[in-house]
Amino acid sequence: MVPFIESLPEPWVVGLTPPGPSVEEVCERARGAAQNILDSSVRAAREGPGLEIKGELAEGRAAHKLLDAARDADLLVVGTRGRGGFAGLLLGSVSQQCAHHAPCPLVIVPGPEDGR
Amino acid sequence: MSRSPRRILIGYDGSDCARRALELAASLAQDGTKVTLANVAEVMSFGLPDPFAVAEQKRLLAEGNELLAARGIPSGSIDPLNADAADGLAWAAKKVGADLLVVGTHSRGPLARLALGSVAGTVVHRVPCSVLVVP
Repeated sequence: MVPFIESLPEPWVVGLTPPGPSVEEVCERARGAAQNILDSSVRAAREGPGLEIKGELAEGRAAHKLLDAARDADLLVVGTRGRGGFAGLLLGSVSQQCAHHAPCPLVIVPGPEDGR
Repeated sequence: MSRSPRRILIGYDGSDCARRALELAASLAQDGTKVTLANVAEVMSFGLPDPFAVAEQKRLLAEGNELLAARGIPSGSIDPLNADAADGLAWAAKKVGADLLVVGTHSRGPLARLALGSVAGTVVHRVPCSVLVVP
C-alpha cells in the first residue's frame, strides 16, 4: 500500500478579515486543488505494475504530516521543489525536515532545478 | 530513476547508520549495478591532511567493500575525500555518475545529530540524482 499525501497549509486567521473570499472559501479551494493533484497522481501511479495505491489528503504542515504517516512505513519518498540555496537555508525544505526526523528510510528525488 | 538504480554511491563512515544504509543499498543492487563507496571527512591537521585520519578512512572503505562482498555484491571505492560532507558526497556522486546516493542520517561523533539534516538536506540540492537517507 502506497499512500500519497498532499498537504494543505493550516488555516490561519488574522484579526481583520479583508474583503474577498472568506478563509473557509480559500481553504475549500485549496482542498479541491490538492485533491485534484492527489487524484491525478494516484491515477498515474496505478498505471505502473500491480501495486496497491491509496491516496490520503492531510491538512497541516507537510513535514509533520508526512512523518506522522511514515511512522509505520518501510520507506518514505518525497520530491524537492528546488528551494535549495539561501531560501532553503532560511525556510528549511520539507525534504530537509524529513531527513532530520525520518523514522524510516527516506528517498529524496530532486526536482529539475537541483544539482545542475 | 524509473527503474532500479544503475550506479549507486554509498557514503560510508562505519557508523551503525551507515551500515544500515549499506545493507539497504545492497538490497537494491542488481546484476550490473555499479556500487561505489565514498568516505568524506575533514581531516586537516596543521594545514595538511592528517595521515592517521586518512588511514582510518581507507580502513573504513575497505570494511565497506568487504561487507558488500559478503553479500555477493562487487563494489569499488573512490579515494578518501577531505572535504565538507555534503560537498564531498555531491562531488563524488557527480564523479561516478550516480543515479542514487545512499547515506545514513547520523554519522559518527556526538555532534553528528546536529549536522545530519544539513548533510542529507544540503546534498540533495547539489546532486542531480535521488538520495536515499537511512536512519
